[in-house]
Parts: sequence; C-alpha cells; structure tokens
Amino acid sequence: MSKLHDFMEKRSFALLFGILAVVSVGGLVEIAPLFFIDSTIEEVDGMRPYSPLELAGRDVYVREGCYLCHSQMVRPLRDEIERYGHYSLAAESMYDHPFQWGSKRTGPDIARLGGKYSDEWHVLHLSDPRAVVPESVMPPYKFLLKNKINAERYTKHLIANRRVGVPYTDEMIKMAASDMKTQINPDADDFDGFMARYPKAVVRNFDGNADDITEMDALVAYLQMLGTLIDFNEYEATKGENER
Amino acid sequence: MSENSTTKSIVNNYGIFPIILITLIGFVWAVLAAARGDDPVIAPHAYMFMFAFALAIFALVYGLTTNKFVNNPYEYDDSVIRAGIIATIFWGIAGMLVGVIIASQLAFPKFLYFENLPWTNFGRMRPLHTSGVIFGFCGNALIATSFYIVQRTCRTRLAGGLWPWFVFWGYNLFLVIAGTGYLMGITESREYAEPEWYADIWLTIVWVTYLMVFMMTLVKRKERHIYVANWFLLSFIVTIAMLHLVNNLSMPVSFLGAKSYSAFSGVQDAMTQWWYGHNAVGFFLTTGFLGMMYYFIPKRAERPIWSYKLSIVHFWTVIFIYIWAGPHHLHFTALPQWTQTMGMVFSIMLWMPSWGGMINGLMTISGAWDKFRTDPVLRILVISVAFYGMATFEGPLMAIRYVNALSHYTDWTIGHVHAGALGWNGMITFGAIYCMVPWLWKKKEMYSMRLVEWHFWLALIGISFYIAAMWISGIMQGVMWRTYNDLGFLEYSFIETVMAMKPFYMIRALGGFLYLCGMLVLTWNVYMTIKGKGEALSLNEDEPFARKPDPATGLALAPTLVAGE
Amino acid sequence: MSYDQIAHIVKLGGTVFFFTFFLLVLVYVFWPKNKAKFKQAASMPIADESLIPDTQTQKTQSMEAKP
Repeated sequence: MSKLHDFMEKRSFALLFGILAVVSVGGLVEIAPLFFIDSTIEEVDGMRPYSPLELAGRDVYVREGCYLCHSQMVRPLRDEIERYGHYSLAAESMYDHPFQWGSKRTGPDIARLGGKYSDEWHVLHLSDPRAVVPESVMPPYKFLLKNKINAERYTKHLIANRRVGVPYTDEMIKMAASDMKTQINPDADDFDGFMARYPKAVVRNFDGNADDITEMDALVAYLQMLGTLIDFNEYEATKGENER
Repeated sequence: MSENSTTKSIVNNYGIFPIILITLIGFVWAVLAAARGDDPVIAPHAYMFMFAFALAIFALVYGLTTNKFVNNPYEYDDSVIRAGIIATIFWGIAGMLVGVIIASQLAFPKFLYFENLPWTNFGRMRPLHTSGVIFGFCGNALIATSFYIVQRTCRTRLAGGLWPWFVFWGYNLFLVIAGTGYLMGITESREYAEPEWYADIWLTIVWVTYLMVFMMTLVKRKERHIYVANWFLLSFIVTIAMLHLVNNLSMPVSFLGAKSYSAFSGVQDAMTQWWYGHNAVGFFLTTGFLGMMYYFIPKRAERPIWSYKLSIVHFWTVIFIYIWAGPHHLHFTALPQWTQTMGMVFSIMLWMPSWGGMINGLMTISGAWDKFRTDPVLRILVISVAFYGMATFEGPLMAIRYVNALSHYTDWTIGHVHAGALGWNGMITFGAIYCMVPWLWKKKEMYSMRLVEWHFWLALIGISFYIAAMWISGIMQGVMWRTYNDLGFLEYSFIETVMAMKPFYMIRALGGFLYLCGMLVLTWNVYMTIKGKGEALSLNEDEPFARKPDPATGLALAPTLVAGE
Repeated sequence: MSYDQIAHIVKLGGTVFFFTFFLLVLVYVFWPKNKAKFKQAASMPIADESLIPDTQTQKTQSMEAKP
C-alpha cells in the first residue's frame, strides 16, 4: 500500500490519473443511468417540439437570462401546486436545449404561465413591468417590440435542434419559415397544416403589429404555450418514482 | 556559473511555434467570422479575437527577432504571477462593482433600469457579476497562486517557457469574450457555464495548457515528495477540465455564428449542469483555494501544518464525495428521486471532510495566536478559514430535502453562496495578495498595515450585512410562500413577498458596497507597495524575502489593539 | 434495468467502494514508516525561498528524469 502511494507520488502522472479515477465515479453513477432508465422521463400524451416562433421566443428567453429570476419547475409541494398548478413532469422539458428550470424565484415560477394572462397584458408588462405591477423589480423589455426576426434564417435553428435529438420532421424543417409567419396570422392559408404539425399552438398576432415578426411576438408566443401541452385531467402517474 | 550558460533562450527549450500556430488558426477563424458571420452579434467578438491574436503574433515575432525571451532555470518565473495579481485585482473590482449595481437594481428598480439600454438589464449583468468574480477574480488568483506555490514547493522553475504567459493571456481573453458576450446577449443560460461554444473551445485550449504547465512543473520537481497543496491544485485543474468538457457539449447553429443548442435536454441536462455547477464550487472554489490555504497559512504563521495526515485523508475524501453532491440543487424536481437521495446523503457526508480542512487551517495557527493579534494579514487568512467552516456547515444543512423545500428558490441560497464567496474565497485571496505582493516585488512589507486593518473591517462588516440580510429575506420569503390563512387559502400573493424583500435588498446592496470599498483599499495599498512607499522599502538583492512582519512595527501599526489590551 | 435494481447497485457499490477506499487512505496515513516523511512535508512551505543553486540541488536531477 505504502509502495503504491509512493509510486503515485513520484510519478506525478499517476497522481493525476488517481485523482481522475476518484472524481469520475460520482458522475458516472449519477448521470449515466439517466440516459438509460426509461422511467426517468414518463410517457405522456401531448408533448411536441416547439413551433419555429416558440423556439425563437425561447431563444429570446435564454438570451435575456430570464431563468436567473424565474423558475420553470413546479415542485410537488402543496403550496406550489395551489399557486402555480400541477407539478412539472420530466417529459415537459424533454425538448429543452438547454433546460431552464432555474434556481431562484425573484419572480414567480412560470412553468404554467400559458393562457393565464392576455397577450396585451404580456406586451404591456414586458415593455414596462411597473405600469402593470407597481412593486415589480423586473427589468423592462420594450426593445423587443423593435427587434425583427428573419423567418427565413430560422430554419437552421430547427436543424441544429434536430441534430441534438429533437424530433423535427423534414416537413417541419421545410415549412419552418412559413410556419413562423403563419403563427402570427390566424387568416394564413396554411393554418390547418400548421396546427397539424404543432397541435395546441396559439395562433395570434401577439404584439399587435401585423407587418413584422418581432421578438415580442416570439417571446409572448412562447410564454403563452408554457405548460399547456399536457392535459392534466387525463394524466395519471403510473410508476412510483414518477408520482412524487 | 556564468550568466550565459545558465540563461537559455526559450526558443531552444520549448519552441514557441505551437503558440504562433494556435494564434494563427484563431486569427483565420476570426477573420472568417467577422466577414461572413451568420448573426450580427458575432462580429464584435470576431474583431476582438482578431485584434488579440494579431497583437500576440506581433509580440511573439518581435520577441523572437530581438531575442527577448530568456529562461533562467535558476530563478523562479515570477513575472507571470505579478501580472496575475494585477489581473486578479482588476477583475475583482469589475465583478464586485457589477454585483453592487445589480443588487441596487433589485432595491431601486425605478431608477436603475433603462428601457433603451438592454445590456444594463439584470438578466444580462448578473452573469457578468458571477463570471467576473468567480472566473475573473478567483480564477486569476488561482492561476497566479498555483504558479507561485508549485514553483516554491517543487523548488523548480515553472515548466514551459512562454506557455504560462499563454495561459495568462488566453484565460483573460476568454474572460473578456465571455463578459462582453453576456452584455450583448450571447449566453447559453446555464448557470456558471454561460459562455457560448467558441469561448468554451478557446477555454479548453487554455485550460489543457494550464494543466500541462502545472504537470510538467511537478514532473521536474527537485523535492521527492509532492506537497499536499499541489494535490489540491492538481485536482482543481484536472476536474475543472473534465467538468467543462462534458457540460459544455453543444451544437452550434453555424460555425460562424454565436448561437448553439446544448447537447442534452431536460432532466439529463439539469443533472449534468448541476454536476458541473456544484463541482465548480467544489473544485474551483474549494479544492483550489484549499491549495492556497495549505501554502499561505503555514507560510505566514511560520508553523508547519498541524496534521499532514489529516490533510491527506480529507483530500481524498473531499474529492471523492464532492462530485456526488450535485443533485441537491434539484430536490423535489423532475429528477428521479434516487438521484436526489444520493445527492443529499453525499452532501451531508461532505461536512466532515470539509471541516478537516478548516480544523487543519485553524490548528496550524495554534501556538502562534499572538500573530493573529499583531498581523492583520494572518487574521484575514484565519477569518477566511472560519467562513469556510461556516459555509461548509450551512451547505449540508441546506442539502437536506426538507430544509431545501424551504430554502430553494429563495435568497437564502444567495446568502449561503456569498458566505463562501466573500468570506472564504475573497478573504483568502486578499490574504494571499498581501503575502505575495511584498515577496514578489521584493519589498519589506505592504505599504500600510493600517490599511490592511481597514480592509479587514470593511470586508467583515460588509459580509455581515450581506449574509444577515439574505438569511432573513430568504427564510421570510420561503415561509411567506407557504403560509395559509384561516380559510385554507394561500395568505400572500407573490408580489407581496417581493415587496417584503425591499429593505433587505437595500441592506444587501450596502453590504456589497462596503466589501467593494475594502477591495479599493487593497488596490491603493498594492499600488503604493509596488511604488515602494511607506513601509514597503526595497530589499537588498542579497537579502532573502521578508517573511514576517516585524513584531515591533506590527504593534506600532496597530495602536487600537495595543490600547485595548 | 429497472429503477430498483439501479438504486440497489448504486447504494451497495457506492458504499463498498467508498469504504474500501477510505480504509486504504487510512492505512497509508498511519503506516509507521511514513511518519518521518509527513513530518518533513508539513514544514515544506516554510523553507522554500530561493532557487539559487546550492550543491545539493545541482546534484539531484529531476525526480522523474530517469525511470
């Protein structure tokens, strides 16, 4: 034993590999199984990849660091379920690259924000939070109204997502630019096709500006779909570890 | 031995051509990205890379042609450490200043947000604060002190000729890219791993170089035994390399654009991220700094380590256990419960090995307690260990599932982090700077011990305000969220809990401001020391470094304490 | 593999692995022969000042230069 350690000391590379061996164990045991155990992510109906506009909105959410103050993870505690809604399922973030569960609630959890407020409320609140909630400490995001999104260029983002495992079909990728325009225009020709690709998507002119797709459109579209895909009247936890 | 035979050109020894090659490749990518970048935000970064690499190539060629790069194997390589200390101070001021600003934004949102300046928003500045202090301030301090310690305890010059300089400049280039990126909205939004893919790749190159420089210095050591501080430092460097590589796997939308999507999603991404996030704390802010402690406390106190055996036992147990503790950041989430339980159990087990370090640090002073009174530098070092002990007790407590149900998502977490960051990492870095600056610039002592005294009290009072405010606000908010009224309804709306935070946000901002003031006092003191003012008399070249404060002057410089006796 | 199996293996394996490892470290630390070495190592930071060649370091080449 003593010789072994002596050897390791003299050979600094042995010390290096000793350290590596010791620090690898925890990660291997805790992380690797998550990719193999089926029950890690429960089977539920309703989950689908984000529509192009929702994805663009999510990118704005990621860019602005919203997760630093808003969590997207309702815990199975009585007060949280009463305040926010059904506790979050693993399946609900399975297309989230990256995950945005957050670690701090300077503002409320928004995992189930979708449909709770009107589009007008969101646009006003994002533009000037204290005009709607006087005691709010949230920063203003008025500039999102001015920033336009180029729908044609967004196809690449869907492709990148598909490369990391989000099941976008060829059709979804082909129609990405068109779908983005359709989602802010309920009278668009391809409305039915879009709804077939992205069930339960909200199609509205979110920011009141019909000419352009703005980052405000995208962000509000994303916020309005959060937590709405699964019908919790029908969901029942089947396995013990998913009941929580 | 004559000067000529001992002094060798670095080119002969190590070859700087690989550095030139790396910078050239980077330069070409930067030109491409600037010219044909796929999104508008990549251009500023491409120009920054271009400028930095062009400057580097120019400097290298200039140094080569004028034969400026020399490598004296019989001298320690201290120039890069001096640069590291200055960078540490720079990032410290920047990171802490941004911290005070964002803390004030939460206290006074009406005055400190500007609707036409998106980059001043909390969401963009907060990563600048965390990266500025963790990677800028602490990272530079770790690189500088690790280079200092490994040379002294191995009795050999740093390996790699110019490569340590590559590490220094490369790391700081990464910091500039990361920091300016956050302000422009270039972020992966995964806590403490925010920089985008190209900054991550650059950091990988720099970090592997750092590992190699450190390893090769160990390999050519002239001491038989590898001193334990180097074990801690080595575990810090190699584990951070592993964590960084795995956690930052991502798919760029385009190789000439900034945006990427992380390789993992949802549950797996959360677990990987907190495996990384918690061990950034564990290996960057704990084992790295324990390495610092195991050098500077014995050195300053002039006492051997209290128990070398304990240092070995707690080294292996700390690094084994720490890596498991990540899931305690995900209690009650959609992460499978067996993983959460593992995280909790190992977090509680972590308490003892953590305290092994604290006990060893504190007991090393025993027998020299008079110095605790007369030498403010040693006092700063000791207080840092006390805060380490406090934070590593609080951590396991908060990792218990049912404590976490209350503390998670609240300011209690923020308070806990700052007990560790301000109290442990900040204080021990200040102590190390106060030790190293006179040693490196060959001065008798710091310019003014009275200013060190001031710094100590400013920092201590600042920390106290900060932690107390966050404890109260965190626990209060956690309790308010789960308070029911007589009719069985939730008592408080969310915004009422935000309103209740306001006074504590103000106290927190004040505490942070005091701590920043202490940092500025340090800056002034270091500047005057380098200039050679006050007590900072230049040493005769033949004289060894000043190792201890003169007991007589030490007393004379602390009149308040004498009066109190 | 099911959740229960994994959990069982992880708990048992983790405990055994860690305990064995811990014992090995303890054995090393309390090995009587190592006492003198640790005592010397504990004061390494105190005596490290200069790299000016003295006769000893000149003679002793790098510990790992030769296999």
